[in-house]
Order: sequence, then C-alpha cells, then structure tokens
Amino acid sequence: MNGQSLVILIYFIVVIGATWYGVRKNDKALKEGGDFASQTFKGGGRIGAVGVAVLVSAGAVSTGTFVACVGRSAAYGPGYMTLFLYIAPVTFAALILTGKRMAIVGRRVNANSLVDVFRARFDNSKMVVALLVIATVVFSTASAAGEFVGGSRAIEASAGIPYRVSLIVFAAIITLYVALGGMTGVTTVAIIQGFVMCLGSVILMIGYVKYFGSFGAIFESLKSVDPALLTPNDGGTMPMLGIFEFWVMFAIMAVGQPWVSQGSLTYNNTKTMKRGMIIGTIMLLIWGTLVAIMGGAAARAFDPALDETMIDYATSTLSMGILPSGLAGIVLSAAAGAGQSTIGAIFICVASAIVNDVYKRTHPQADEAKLKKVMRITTVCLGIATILIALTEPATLHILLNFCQGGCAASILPALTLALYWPRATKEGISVGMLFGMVFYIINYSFDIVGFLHQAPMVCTIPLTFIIMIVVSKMTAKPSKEVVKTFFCEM
Amino acid sequence: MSLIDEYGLKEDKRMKQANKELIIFLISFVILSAWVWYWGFWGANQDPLTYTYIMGIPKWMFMVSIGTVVIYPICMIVQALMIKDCPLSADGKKEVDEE
Repeated sequence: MNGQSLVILIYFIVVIGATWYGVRKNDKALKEGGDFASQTFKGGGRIGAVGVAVLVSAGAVSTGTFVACVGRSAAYGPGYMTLFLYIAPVTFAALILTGKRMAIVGRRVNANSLVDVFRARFDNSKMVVALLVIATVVFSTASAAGEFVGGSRAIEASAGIPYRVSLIVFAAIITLYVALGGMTGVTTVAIIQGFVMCLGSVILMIGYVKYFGSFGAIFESLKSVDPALLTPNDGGTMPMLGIFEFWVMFAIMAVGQPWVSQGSLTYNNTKTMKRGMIIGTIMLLIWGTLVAIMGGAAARAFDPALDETMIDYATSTLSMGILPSGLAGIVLSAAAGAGQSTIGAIFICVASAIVNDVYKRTHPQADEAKLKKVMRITTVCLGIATILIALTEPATLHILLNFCQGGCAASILPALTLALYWPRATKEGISVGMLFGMVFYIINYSFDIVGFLHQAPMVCTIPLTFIIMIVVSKMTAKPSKEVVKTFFCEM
Repeated sequence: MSLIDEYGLKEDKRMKQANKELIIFLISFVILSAWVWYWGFWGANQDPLTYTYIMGIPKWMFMVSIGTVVIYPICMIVQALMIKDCPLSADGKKEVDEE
C-alpha cells in the first residue's frame, strides 16, 4: 500500500467515525421528541453555520472543482477559470435571495422541503409539485452519478485503487450516513469534508509555490509553454459568448438546484445564516483560487502535456509530482470530500422528495417508525441506482449531466424567485414556465436549430422563462388572500 | 406589491428588509460584473506576448483577481454583516430556543 492510499483510507475511516457520531446525535434529537421528518430532512432547523456553509456551497463545489476545473484551467489557461470563478461568492447570494423568506415561510407552513413550500404557495397544484419532484429526483440522481464517476476516477488515477472498488466504497459510505443520520449526519460529515478540502487546498498551494518559487514563475513557465494560455479565451479559440454562457450556467446551476435552496430551511436564526455566508465565501475562495485556478496553472507549467485530452489527470499529476505521497493523499481526499458533500446534499434532497412529498402524502396514516424505514430503503435504493448508472457509465454521461442540471436549474430558479417575491405568481404561470424552461433548454442544448440559441441556451432560456411565467400568471386567476398573507404579510 | 394592497394586507417588515438586502446585493454584483468583464474583454485583448505584469501576474488577470479575490469577498462579508437580524419565527416574535 502506498502513501496516498493510506491517507485516503484514513480519511474514509474518519468519515465513518463522524457518521457514527452524527447518527448518535440524530438519534438523541429524535428521542428528545423531535419530529421525524423535520429532524431528518432539515436537521430540526438546528444546523450550525459551518454545516450551512458546506451544504450550500455543495451546489457550486464538487469533485469538478478539484478535478475538472483544474484540468480545464491547465488545458485552456488559468484566465478562463479566473473569469468565471468570480461568481463563486454568488452562491452565498442564494442565501440573500431565499434565506430569510424561505426560513420564515417554511415555519409558517411547517415545510420540511422545497416541495412543501411550493405546495403551500400554489395551493397543492399537482402540476407544480410533479414537475418539482421530477426535477429533483431524476435530474439530481443523474448529477449524483456524475459525481461518483468523477470522485472514483480521481482516486483511481492517483491512488491506484480500481475504479469499481472505490466507487462502491465511496457510495456505501455516503448511503450509510444519509440513511442513518439524515441531515444531521450529512452536516456532521460535511464539517470534516470542508476542513479536509481547505487543508488540501493549502497544502497544494504550498507545494507548487515551493516548487516554482513564486506565482510569477508559474506564469513565466506558462508563457514559454504557450502564450495563448495567458489570455482569457485560449488565444481567441473560445468565443466570448460561449464563456458567458458557461458563466451564467455555472451561476444558475449553483443557485438554482433544489438542494441549495433547501439549505435555507436548516437554520433557525439569522446569525447562523450570516455566519454561514461569511464562512462559505471564504472557503469557496480558498478552493476556487488555490486549487481550480492556480492549481491548473501550476499543473500545466509542471507538465506541458496536460492539454484538453488530459483534463481528468491534472490534479493527480500535479499533486503526486510536487508533493510527498502522504500529502498528495490529503489533496486527493479533498477531491473525494468535495464530491461526497455534494452527493450527501443531493441524497437528502431526493429522499425528502420521495419520502416527505410522495410517500407521506399517499400514506397519511404512516407512523414515524414506518417513515424511518421508508427513508432508509429509499436511500439504499438511491445508492444502488446511482452506482448502477455510474458503473455502466453511459458514454453520454457528461452531456446528460449538463442538461439535467441545466434543465433543472433553468426551471427552478425563476419559479422560486417569482414564488417568493411576486405575490401575483399563479400555479398555472409557474407550471407552464417550468415546463417551458426544461424543454426549451434541453432542446436548444441538444439540437442546433437557431445558432445563438444553441451556443448559449441558458442565457436565452432564463429571461424567456421569466417572461412566460409573468405573462401566463397575469392571464390567470389571482392567488387567494390566504396564500398572499402567508407568504408576504404579517400574520 | 399591488396584490397585497388589493387584499388590504400589510407586508411583513422582515420581507421588506429582505428585498432591500437583495437589491443591494444585485447592485454590487452588477458593478463587479462590469469590472471583471471590462478587464476580461478589453484588458486582455492584445497579443499575449505584449502583456504587462504586476507581481508576476498578467495585468488583466491581476485586475480581475483584485476584484474577485479581494474586493468582492470583503463586500460580501460587509453585506452579510449588514443583514438585519430578525427572528425567523412565523409571527415575527422571538423564539424560546433562539440563542
């Protein structure tokens, strides 16, 4: 066993230890009379600031940040990454957008999930709920599978643990802490993951600065590899419209995922929210700048062969090239942790959609023990489903992923914004708009019908979705006084 | 907000405050975007061999990073601190289990 594998193994053991602790904490809260659904899906509303920060940033930071972004930064130049990573702190703007309103309304309607909030807002509209549940379950499961592939690849590439083995171990651990610990389990583990990710980033930075001598030396070497790497668009080969689209998509995907907005239900005072925003902004900057941008630049300067065909290998090549193997293991654990925190958040969100929004509605007489069982079975099934998707590895997984997440975000973000900020929004308007957003985005993303629509599908879909939602809402009956009162007024 | 008046209701003060905070954020974000895209589009639009450097980093990238890595996070943190504390309970009253 080499150094990297040993460190990764230690990391996994620590995660299992944290899982055990989280499960005990969760059981204790349940014994003290916590409501099962509320405790499992939003940690009883008592999640701390670091937990909120990691949970919300999970939307923006995943294995991708530690693997694919580094690879892209190496392949196309760090400038390209610099340009779009400036929206990183915007994830926390998600908390400005939804934070207070979701938390207040969530209390009023006693919501345990995003779907609960929508159900109350659009008087139980089956259409809105169905679209949301589909978006959450189908699209999120696909995203989780993508994360698994990324994380296991990173481990395989570097530690030499076979892809399938690491995939299954990876998935088993996450399923364990989600099924047994619920939201408390996820956030307990997330704190450790956040710490390991920061540690890994700093170690990597110390590594490449020591290796090259200074930041300037990295750019000097890049210049001698290929001067085009210093430009924001790889010497003009990438159209600026494409970069802009990528940027909008990244921002909207980070903010519009259901598991991100659901984070707003997990705290019970504004102090935690504010602390979460500050901690999260700082953590995201550390990860983004030190790893995604500069890590990529250093990787290319270290090994000029890391072009666009080698995107998955930049992180492992760099960390194993410049760091002793034990420390490289920490960097790779950080990559695994980034993926795990995202998958944990996704699993909780999907489980809440299935258990809370589908099962509990169809079986209103089910007691807590029964719900607990269903929750565990659901999570295990989810784990197995994602492993199967990841193992068969559809060749088009990346495309699938992109349009799943994009389609999901393109419909949820406008719906959420209007539902929370515009009293006149009606269920018809929102459901037509959501349907339009998903379909329009997926069609334009997949087929080249109109040139600029295909090049920048997200940029075009979002405003159109807003317009359709507003127009259709204006044409249909006003929401009832009760709803307006619950969502916007003093009680 | 006309529908609220139409029904003769009174908007929750906390919601009004949340709107203000969102608008402040949006303004700051538009300013940042202008800064970043100005340097990204025009600041970098020349032959990379003729780039000037600040502290070893290409000038345009340095300027973009000043905005994103230094000024903006400070701006975000100030905004976070400026968010008015309020109880998140249903009726706006303080809760028992709040710190």
